[in-house]
Amino acid sequence: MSNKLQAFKKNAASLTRSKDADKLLLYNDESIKHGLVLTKEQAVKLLETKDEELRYNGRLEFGEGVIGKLITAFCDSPYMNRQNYSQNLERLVEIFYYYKNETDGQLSDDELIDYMKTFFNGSCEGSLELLESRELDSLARALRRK
Amino acid sequence: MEIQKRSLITPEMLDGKAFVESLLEAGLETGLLSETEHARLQYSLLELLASRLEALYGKETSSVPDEVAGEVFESLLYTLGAFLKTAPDGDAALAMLRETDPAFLYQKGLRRLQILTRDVRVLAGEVFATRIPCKNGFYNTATGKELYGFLRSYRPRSHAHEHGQFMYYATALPCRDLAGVEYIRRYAVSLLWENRFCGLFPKEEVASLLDSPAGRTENIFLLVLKQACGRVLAGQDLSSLVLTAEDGETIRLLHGDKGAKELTAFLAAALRVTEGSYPAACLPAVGKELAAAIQRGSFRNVLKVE
Repeated sequence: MSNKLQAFKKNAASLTRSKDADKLLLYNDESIKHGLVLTKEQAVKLLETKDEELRYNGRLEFGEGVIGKLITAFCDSPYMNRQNYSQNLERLVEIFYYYKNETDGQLSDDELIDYMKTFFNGSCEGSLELLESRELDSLARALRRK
Repeated sequence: MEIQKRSLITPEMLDGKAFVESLLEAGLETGLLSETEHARLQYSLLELLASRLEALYGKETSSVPDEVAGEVFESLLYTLGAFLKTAPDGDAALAMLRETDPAFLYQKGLRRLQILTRDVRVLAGEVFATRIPCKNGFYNTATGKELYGFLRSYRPRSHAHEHGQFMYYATALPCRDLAGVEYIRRYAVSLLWENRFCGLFPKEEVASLLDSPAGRTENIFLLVLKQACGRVLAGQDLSSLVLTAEDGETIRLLHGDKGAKELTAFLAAALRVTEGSYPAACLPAVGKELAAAIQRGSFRNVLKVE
């Protein structure tokens, strides 16, 4: 990162005031229709994971963020349940930022999330390992070959 | 007696290439900014960055690689700086930064860059029109393709701080304290000064002077200026640039006892250069070189003596 930006932002991974956990909990209004809710603790953990992944992947967030979009996309998945919901969301955040870099900006946020949802619900049958190491890996290679 | 307000932030505290950052630091150093205000201003600039990234990339993504964000941030700071530099002094610039919405300052900055870019366009035309015919490849490229190349490639909204082209031809007074379009504008102004000066002398004599290894690689204006100084030192007028062996002897006789400073002062008076002008700024180095040559007893590689 440029030294100037580093000096200004110090350790913050996001430029927006962190979507605090309370705002994230508003998405429970949508996910509860599928029997899924996040607790405040889980929402806080999710935001921390997001910040960590942004830092690890060398990215800076400036917009509304993707957690809300991931919740909206995946809360109706047949492979999400109350036991794995929060954990899966954290993994999806990790996978999202990793492949955002691996696809080298060729996919918009919405396009990448669409692919993730299609593969997760389809060929991966709810397996995040297959999503990450098979389907998205193949997609990224195909895009790099273009 | 009129009392004039003195700015606490002096020009020496400000960096032409990193104006906003140096302004913030100077504000802290002088006590004009508290730590809290300093942090607040830094945060407001980050918010401006967020809105710039949103404008540039927001349709596609909510995050960008750190390097991309870093480049946009440098561009944004440079743009703000371009406008803040128009303030009468450092204190006024800091006041503007504290009291004005950064988004508004940014728009003003973009407008300023637009004006500077327009200047470069006009200057590029004038530089091209006053070019000195010569075999110096660096000079020919600089006065031809490079300035126009900058105009084609300059991207003020994302890379305002860059000037893309590396100017291989060095002007007599290299600009080290500016970046982006400000640097290119100063470079173009320098080239124009130099072209116009060389254009005062007979074309064929300038061409003859430049038809040498030095003429193909060194700064053309300095070669011509040195030769003109030689004429003045020899008591000759400036209708020509030709120096004879006799002129060389005359120079040694008349000025052998002068040091560099005295010689420079003599030349400044004889050439009637205005203090603060471009030729005036170049004379000390020329005076030093000529004084050394006189002491050595040889003008080889300094003047062209027939």
